Amino acid sequence: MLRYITQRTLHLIAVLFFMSIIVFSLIKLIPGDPVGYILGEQATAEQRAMLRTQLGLDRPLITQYLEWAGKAITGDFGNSLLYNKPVMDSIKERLGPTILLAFASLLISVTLGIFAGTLAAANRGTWGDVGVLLFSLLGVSIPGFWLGIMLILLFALKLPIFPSIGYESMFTNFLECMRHLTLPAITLGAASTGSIARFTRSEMIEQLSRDYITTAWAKGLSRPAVIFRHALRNSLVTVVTLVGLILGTLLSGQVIVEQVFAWPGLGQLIIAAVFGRDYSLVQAIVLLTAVIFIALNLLVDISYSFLDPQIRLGKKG
Amino acid sequence: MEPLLRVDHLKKYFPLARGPLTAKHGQVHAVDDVSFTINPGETLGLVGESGCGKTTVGRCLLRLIEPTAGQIRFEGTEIAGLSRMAMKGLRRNMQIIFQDPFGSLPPRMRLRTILTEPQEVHGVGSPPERMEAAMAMLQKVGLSSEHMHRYPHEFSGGQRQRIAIARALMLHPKLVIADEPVSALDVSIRAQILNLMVRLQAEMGLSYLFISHDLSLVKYMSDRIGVMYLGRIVELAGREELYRRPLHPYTEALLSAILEPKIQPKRKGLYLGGEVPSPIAPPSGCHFHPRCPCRAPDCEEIRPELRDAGGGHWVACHPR
Amino acid sequence: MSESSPPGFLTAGEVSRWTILAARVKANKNLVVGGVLVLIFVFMAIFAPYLTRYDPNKRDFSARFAQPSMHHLMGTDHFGRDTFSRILFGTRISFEVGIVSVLIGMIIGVIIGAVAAYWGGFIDSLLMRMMDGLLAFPQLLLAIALVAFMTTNLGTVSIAIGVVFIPRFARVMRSAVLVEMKREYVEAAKAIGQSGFKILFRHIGPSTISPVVVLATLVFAFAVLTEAGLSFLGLGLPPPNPSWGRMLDEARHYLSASGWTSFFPGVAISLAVLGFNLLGDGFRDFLDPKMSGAVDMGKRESLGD
Repeated sequence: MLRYITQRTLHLIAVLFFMSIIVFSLIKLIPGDPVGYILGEQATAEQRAMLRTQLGLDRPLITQYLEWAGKAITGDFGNSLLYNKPVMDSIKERLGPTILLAFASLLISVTLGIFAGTLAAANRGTWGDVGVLLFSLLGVSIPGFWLGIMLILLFALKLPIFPSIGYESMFTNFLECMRHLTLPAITLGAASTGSIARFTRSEMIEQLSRDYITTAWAKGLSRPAVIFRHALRNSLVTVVTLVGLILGTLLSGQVIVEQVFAWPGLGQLIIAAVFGRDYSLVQAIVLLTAVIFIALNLLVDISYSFLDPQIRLGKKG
Repeated sequence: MEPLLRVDHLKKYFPLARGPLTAKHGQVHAVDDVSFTINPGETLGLVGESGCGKTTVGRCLLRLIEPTAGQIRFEGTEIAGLSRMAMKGLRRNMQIIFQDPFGSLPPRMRLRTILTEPQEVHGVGSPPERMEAAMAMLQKVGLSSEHMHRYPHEFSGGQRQRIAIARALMLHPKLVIADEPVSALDVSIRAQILNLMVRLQAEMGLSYLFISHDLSLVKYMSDRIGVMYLGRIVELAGREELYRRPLHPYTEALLSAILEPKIQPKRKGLYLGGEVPSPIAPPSGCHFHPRCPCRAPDCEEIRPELRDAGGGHWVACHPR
Repeated sequence: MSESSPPGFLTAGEVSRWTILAARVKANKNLVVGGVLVLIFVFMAIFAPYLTRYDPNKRDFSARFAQPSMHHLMGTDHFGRDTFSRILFGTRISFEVGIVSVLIGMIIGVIIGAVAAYWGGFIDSLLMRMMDGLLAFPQLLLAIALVAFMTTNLGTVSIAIGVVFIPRFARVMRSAVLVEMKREYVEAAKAIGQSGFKILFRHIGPSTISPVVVLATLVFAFAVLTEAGLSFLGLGLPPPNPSWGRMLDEARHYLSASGWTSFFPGVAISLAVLGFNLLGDGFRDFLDPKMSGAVDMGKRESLGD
């Protein structure tokens, strides 16, 4: 087990390293002189020089990287050109809505997905099963932004049930917050629901064919009891894997959903930053997201190995 | 007569490392100081149980596996240290036939490419000439040349092994290493393939290193036989000599395991207890001593070298 | 080579190869449905100019927000441009970006994966850690990040999307090569003296085509989706290119005026992505059992497919 952890840690460091190099190099992609690009035509020589120093462009590449990385670890990404305050502050403001949306979508997709997948597995071959499979296939194919727009069309415009855009903090007005949250959360969760449903279905099918289920039938347990208590409990181990599956989709999809619904999260922030040529901000958000992604994936791996006794106790020999 | 191949003190140890941060170290002593020669036109059989290292020896000769130590001299030239370019030139003279007829042929290559490739690699002849040579060889091994456009999976196991033999012979090598060439084939096909190999040997003046765990096959094919145990050659003798006068207890045990349809019992049965020890931590001294019925105190301490027992008969056993 | 076969079995000589192939294709629903969808879009892309009489970029302010009708099959948008024509020409954009990005990802990824697998050791670790570095980013986000720092045109957008695919192709190729390298025919090739490159290319390569093709198809679906997403965010090809994603972005500001303008581009995207996904799944099922040698004469013990 110790060997496993050491291996994983080294691996992690390597990945973080290469990832940070990629983020760092992004700014080198800008054609021509980055300073001129950022400040535009009207900038004076002084402003350019100042920005150049601020971005550290007058120093050798490796030094630039080390400085940037060093500051990044402490959370200092410099000032946002767009908002005229430290980058981290802009990010912190947006964390709340971002996490709220992410969490809500996660909740929806996991519960709906597991439920649908279980039902499909329990009723294999019926129209319901086919429906679930179809639904999950569509979920992966339908673009999130389209789904969002259609939902707005139907449930905000044609039938004014939900507000079409905007956000309300749950501490000021909980009900309003939920109203604003519904459509975005459904949109973001849709694709993931499909994947989870499919995965749960195959896991459940495998569980249901096992011997201990037959024993439960023989004992005379009612159908719901067998399915939900026994089979599901064992399938839940894979919930961890499920979350790992959809993480990427959620993080990416959030950018789009926030645009559609004008949700004031990090996704919207990064787009504003891109158009505002606020590259420090862009880099910071990308880096942060990648770190969170890596961290969550690591968590999934660790808890998975924790739950799988073979890895935990170390293989024999 | 200068031997075609001369192997001196060949060793191959595989490291047991499991990663940069492990405490466990060790080595698999796959080949533990092996020496022998092969003369032009003869077949040397190498026999032993699985895991005794005979396959590794074969691979080392072609440097498909790099030897840890030892000398390998082919027609006088030392192989072990050769550069890739030089080694490539030598490959025309030494080829190999593998055990698995299904795995040893590239699944997505047609026969005609498989058979013309060896000459193509070494720049022999023009494409039409290569094709002709390939067709001729195919017929030589008993297959019709109209199959040239087919894929390996369209043939049976025996046919595939013929193709493998044809491929090995395309460059007219002097030495062919046959690593369990018939073990994966149906028993009824084995004789055909072995007889083919014998016939080709006569026609093309080949030498064989015939590796097998099956003593009866080895007896059929070989002029001389080396018996291997746990990475070492324990006995080396001419075919008849080995059968009439086995000197090493392990050889005796192997021989008594062959069921022969003879009325009068030819030899006393020698049955071994225990299992073959692991090559990671082989027994000290003579590797065989824990299972040997004639064990002497020396056997545990001192490793017996191959000593001449007269008439080209060598045995690695302390005099009893 | 023919021998007596169990009753009910057809030997290879009795039925032509093509009949067997056709039957297998028909049995694979994913392949059929996906294939049809993809072919429809290919048709649309190639014959776009002949399928409509409208110029996709021509504005006609007298016919804004028209409902679908005989004149305008899918209606018009806020500039009066015919939606159907725009969708047709948008197909070209999706395919152009799709093809280029998949090619970029595939060629670079396959080379990296093959080199990593063949040379192993330190090179393998190094290359794979670099690939992991790329995989550390959620896919769309990486594309956005790359595009953000470059000017947007067909090339840069394709590169941005293509880079996202490189690690996936690398991984698939690496596994496929590793599996093949354990086989004896690779040793046999070395014994002949064949060079590493040729071994990879001629011997191992053909066995790796299947998984790569499957991945390429699935990745194409993703490319279409991502291109649409980038265009939607305003990071794709600049106007007036009729990218489906951009059409959606423009349309959503006029939702109250016309729901149709937002409807059709989305359907197009969904169907195209669905088609490629199904095709990829179909390929995966189709190519897999074949590789285990259904027509293998040697393995006579295995009955049936």
